[in-house]
Amino acid sequence: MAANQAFQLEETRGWRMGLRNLMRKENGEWFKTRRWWIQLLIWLVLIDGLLFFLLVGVPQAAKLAGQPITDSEAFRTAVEALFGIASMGIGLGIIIVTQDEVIGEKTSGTAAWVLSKPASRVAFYLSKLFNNGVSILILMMVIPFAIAFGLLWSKNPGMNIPGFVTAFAILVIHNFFYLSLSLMIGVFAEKRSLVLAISLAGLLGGQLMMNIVKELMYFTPFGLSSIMAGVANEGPLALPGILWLPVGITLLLSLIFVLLSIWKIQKLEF
Amino acid sequence: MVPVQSVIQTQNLSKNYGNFQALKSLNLNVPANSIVGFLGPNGAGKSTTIKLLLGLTKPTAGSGTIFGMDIVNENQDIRRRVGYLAQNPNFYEHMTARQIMDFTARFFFRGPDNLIRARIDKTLKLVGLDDKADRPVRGFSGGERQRLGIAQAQVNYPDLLILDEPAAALDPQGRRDVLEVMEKLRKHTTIFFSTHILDDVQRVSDRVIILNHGELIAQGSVEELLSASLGLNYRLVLKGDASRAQKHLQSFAWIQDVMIGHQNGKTIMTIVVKDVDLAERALLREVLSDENLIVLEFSRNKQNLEEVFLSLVEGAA
Repeated sequence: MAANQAFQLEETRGWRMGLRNLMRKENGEWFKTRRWWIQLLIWLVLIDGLLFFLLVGVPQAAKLAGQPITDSEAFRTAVEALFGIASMGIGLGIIIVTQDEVIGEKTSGTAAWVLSKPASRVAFYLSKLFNNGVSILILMMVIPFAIAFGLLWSKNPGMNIPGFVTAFAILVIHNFFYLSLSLMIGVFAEKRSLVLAISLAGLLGGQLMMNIVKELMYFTPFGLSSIMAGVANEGPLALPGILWLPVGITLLLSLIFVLLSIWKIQKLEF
Repeated sequence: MVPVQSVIQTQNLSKNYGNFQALKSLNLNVPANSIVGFLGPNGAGKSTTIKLLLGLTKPTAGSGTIFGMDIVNENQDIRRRVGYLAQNPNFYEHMTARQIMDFTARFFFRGPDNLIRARIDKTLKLVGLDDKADRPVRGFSGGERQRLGIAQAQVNYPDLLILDEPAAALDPQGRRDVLEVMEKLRKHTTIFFSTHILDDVQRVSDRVIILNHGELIAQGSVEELLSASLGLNYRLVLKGDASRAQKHLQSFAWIQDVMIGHQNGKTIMTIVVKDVDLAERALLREVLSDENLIVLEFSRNKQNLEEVFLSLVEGAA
């Protein structure tokens, strides 16, 4: 290795070994390919297109049909629909986008290749969690919701801004849950289909179960979309204390998923 | 004699997958600055051994060291000094060869960027991919992927290069190129490569390790294996009656057997020896001591590694 003396050696050790390089690579997967603008376009159309239609199109259609609705009613419905559809839609999007992140690398052999280099398994997982998390946050949530906020504010400058921001924060927690779930199943499972099936069952089945057992709303992530809509319209202080419980539980479950993933990835055999 | 430093050593290294014993008490010894061919039929446990050495999987029993460091507890330090090419290497398909090399290099080096770029260019040139450096990997042929695999394994100039079937997917020219690259690297590094192509092993290896059904069945230099397994024998074509010479030769302790046959009016004598040094010095002289015999031909019968390998593997079975 005498030929390497002129180089600045990468000497990070422990769980951070290889993290910097893996982060750079994962970031490149999003922002140095066309992936970023495709995702951004999808979510701008879905979230802001839908909101524009609800704020502008629906009142006009109602007026033409001879059943006019008030601006306040239209606004309320638009906010409820925005958070309802965004939580389900982005949750679904996250599962689809991340379902192959870990299992794809496990089955193709790229994970074994990367981990044969000076890279820790924890760094491998965290680089995926962090970069997917941040990219999803920016492209699927922050930018579309900043535009959505602009649209809502232009329609109603007196809107409940703390409520909107709090609802957005709950949306972030809700989506972090599905991100950590999808990655965790990728770490544990051996088949791609299993990752998709379990994550989707969590998202769609959870909603279905909540329609049958209403009490699930108080201690599972499945009721968060209804809570978001309420908070966005009424403000965070209007939310009964008990409804903060599922928010806390969702955050706690997400952290448990992360810890389980970190534990399991260190036991995997490649 | 100065002891040869071992790069890889394992002690009773074993790996079970459920009830299946993939590796049974393997005791390996790979000396520094050697090229070691790791031979065995499919499913013999070669890839399992390599994965154990790299820390990609954990042993069920036994232990091992690389550069004196424990393969389980000091694996991070080991991987800084090792280059690895997987069997059927897979890379991120959207990346170009240069990006793959850069990604690999930055696990080892923080900078400077110009030196990293120069190292990448030099390594890609070494494997003949310099003209394809900016093409995405998804368009690469099997041979090009294999060469990229060797390049990325070599980018940090490792002290130990572990190659899992480096020539398996290559055409004869590609194989020759890979073997030439290995020959070039011999000066700087120890190379441990698994293969089932016996010609390649015989061509470049200093030592051979043969594995079958997870068990070590032979380990040594190519010469040692060729000598030890089938015995060394010499062939003489003679004119005249060889029976007296046969009796004379059989009286020596270093001669195991003397067989006589006839072909086209000539006598064919096959002599199996126990000591090759003595045979080389004295055998022909002893035969010529019978003045009635005329020696037309004298040669040492050479077995190739394939015969040795098959006899060992089939013998073990």
